[in-house]
Amino acid sequence: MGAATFAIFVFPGLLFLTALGLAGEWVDRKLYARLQNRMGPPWFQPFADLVKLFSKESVVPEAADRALFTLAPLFALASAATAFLSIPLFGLRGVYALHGDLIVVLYLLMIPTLTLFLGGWYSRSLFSTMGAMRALTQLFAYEIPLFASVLAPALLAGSWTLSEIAAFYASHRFLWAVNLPGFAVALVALLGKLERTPFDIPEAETEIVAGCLTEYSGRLLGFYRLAIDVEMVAGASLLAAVFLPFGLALPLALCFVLYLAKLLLVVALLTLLRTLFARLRIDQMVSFCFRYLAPAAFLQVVLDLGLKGVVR
Amino acid sequence: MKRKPFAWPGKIIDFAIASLFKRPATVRYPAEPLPMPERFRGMLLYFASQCTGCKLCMRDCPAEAITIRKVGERRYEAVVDRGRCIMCAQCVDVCLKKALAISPEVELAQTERDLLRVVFHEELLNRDDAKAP
Amino acid sequence: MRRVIIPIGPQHPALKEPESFSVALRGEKIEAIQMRIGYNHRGIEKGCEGRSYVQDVYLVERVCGICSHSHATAFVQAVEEIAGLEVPKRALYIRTIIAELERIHSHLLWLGVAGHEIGFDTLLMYAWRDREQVMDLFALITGNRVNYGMNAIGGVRRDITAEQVPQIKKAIDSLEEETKRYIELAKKEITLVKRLSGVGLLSKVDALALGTVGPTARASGVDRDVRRDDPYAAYGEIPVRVVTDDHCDVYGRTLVRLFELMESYRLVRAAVENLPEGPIAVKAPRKIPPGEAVSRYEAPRGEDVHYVRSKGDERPDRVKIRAPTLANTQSISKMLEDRYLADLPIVVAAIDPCFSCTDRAVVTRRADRQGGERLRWEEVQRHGIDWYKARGIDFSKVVLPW
Repeated sequence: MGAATFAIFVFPGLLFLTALGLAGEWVDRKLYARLQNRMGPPWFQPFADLVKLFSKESVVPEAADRALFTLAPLFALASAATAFLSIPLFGLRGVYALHGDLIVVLYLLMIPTLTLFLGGWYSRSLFSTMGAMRALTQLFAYEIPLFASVLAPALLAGSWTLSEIAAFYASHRFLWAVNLPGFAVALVALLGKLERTPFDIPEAETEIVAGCLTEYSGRLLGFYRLAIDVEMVAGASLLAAVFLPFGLALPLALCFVLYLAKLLLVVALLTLLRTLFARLRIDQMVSFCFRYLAPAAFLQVVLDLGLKGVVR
Repeated sequence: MKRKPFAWPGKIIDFAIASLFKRPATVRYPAEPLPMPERFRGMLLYFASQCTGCKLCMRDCPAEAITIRKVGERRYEAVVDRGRCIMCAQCVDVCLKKALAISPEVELAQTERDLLRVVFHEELLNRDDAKAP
Repeated sequence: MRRVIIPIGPQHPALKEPESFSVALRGEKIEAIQMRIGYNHRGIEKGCEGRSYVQDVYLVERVCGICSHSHATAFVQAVEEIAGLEVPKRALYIRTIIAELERIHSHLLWLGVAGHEIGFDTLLMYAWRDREQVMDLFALITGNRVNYGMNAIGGVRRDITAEQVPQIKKAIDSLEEETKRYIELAKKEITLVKRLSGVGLLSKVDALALGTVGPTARASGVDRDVRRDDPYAAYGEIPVRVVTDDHCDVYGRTLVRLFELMESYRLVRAAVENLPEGPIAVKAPRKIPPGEAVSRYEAPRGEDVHYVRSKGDERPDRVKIRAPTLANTQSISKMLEDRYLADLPIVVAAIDPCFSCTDRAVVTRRADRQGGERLRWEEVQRHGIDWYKARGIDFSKVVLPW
């Protein structure tokens, strides 16, 4: 009981995850600022923002559905954190390895978006409703390329379980390089999931104030922000585990450092993509995803299926 | 409708990567001082020894920020409301005796409105420690 | 899908100044727009009547922070015409230099704002960093970063010294480099092009019918520019090449403003190099003789018209200011017909709205009477107090600060 509690709440559970999420947010904001020739925030800024949000009053609008309004952020944080527990941090297994946990992780990572939709919809405010509709439309667009590209290396490895995928790629050195096009597709699709430019349409500040999060304030908003940070770390870790599964046979501490380095690389790439593009309109985004992203993901799937026949 | 070939986005990338290695454009004010150029219009100064009490400055001030008071035979003092002053320096230009000057000092904020109303008494002023216009 | 009415404004993150758009939406498509302006009305025209001409130059300057020199120059030109003053050449050239520098800073500001409206914050940061060079130039030459106070009736108040000229040239050179990169970016960056093209379409016929001015009209092919058609200041001697474009959409307006930037660099260089010697002002009388004059000026946003009437004493009888944004706001509803909500911020930003310039007198009419009668000030005040009392505000608890 003690080991499980420690794993869930401290390492690599909530406490470690919060710290990692805040660190990820700091890297993102600092790199974003530096790319724009600005200074960027000091290292404790995300923590300070979180503390400030938690110390403020949470206003629940009169028209909103109180239960769903307050529960939605908690579900978001819980599902993102649970997704993280299955991802291999050091070595070949995550803390909680299930059979077929790649699919579990992907579904768990879909829940934050659904809770954003629910929170926005049940806020019953004009801007939140618009944001919720956009979030759901965007969900249909990016989920297909994301799923397809993440499942492609799993197809090659012949298993849906993350630990077995890691073992497969550990035994076939350098085979992960064939999945790099899928990595690029997954990065772009992950931008959609995390609602970052060019796909930050659901929370377009200049159009619909803050989208789904318009009516949120105080503690509830703090939970949502933390959930988004944790989702970014979990998504980036998933990508690192599936597409960059090298060096997993190294000793424990070195493996952990390598994991952090991979996480840093993925977060840096996400930030770079955030800096370079303007925001797309929802119709342009859907058409882009179906016309270019999904076919690219399917190409990767076909490639991996073809290789499966060759590689034993 | 003719479909254009796929154009790779992100042309700003060379700008962006170059900015990583440049010094940030942000000035760390107030840790770093930020002096204004010489001609900058900041704080208004008044020299009672030059003033003849013609009150042209009062007439021309767009914000009614300056009041000249007589305190004796050919002796005057000025009350400048720095909160109302728009730092246009019209009073400086119109004064025939060069009794007014404007310096580039811009850190004039106070915590109370009364502190912004400055009285230039005659005996407190020393011509040497202020820049001549 | 149901029809919803969304309020964009008066307070909204997209809008830099208060204006109210009530947008009737079905899904993401805009069905109708109702616009209301007047939130920024400060009574400047009336304020001018109570102050002397010397004080009015500063008041008129504060109509707008971005195009302050435009308003001040237009006003001063009108007064000089009534008084029959011959402004020295050096003053005209200095006015032109400041005017073109103001156009540069305004267009760079617009570029940043347009980038922000479409979610391209990187462009915002770069454009505004470059704008700082122009602001530093203004601080150096005129003594302030905004509201320069350069104009006086009869000329200008400050001179451009020989030491400042190389600094001006250096800043212009560096800005020209950066602007060339922005032009490349505008032409090639696909996300930018996709967001800006086909949005906010306004045909040439519509542009002329709705009375649009400035870069908004020039992007629809309307070849009008006050600097060439009715030259003032030094534009008679340094001719302007007017930039027009045929795209008729927001992309065209972007290109027009970027090319106008390049043209402004050329004009500043020409003016600085050919700066004639001489005095910078003539003495202007305090009492302006009776008369009236209309003065036009090409502000960064379009044609700015000032009308001044004098009765023969120290204070003007009537000052009327028609800012370019007033002419351009009429075209917003036309541009947003059958478009998406996501296009609204960028279309509004593309006319470069400056509602501080626009808001002049507001007439309040009673809606419950046929034809409406104009309300007097006391009635409006009483109506406001009654409105709050009906909502339960206890006026005995209100503490007035004066």
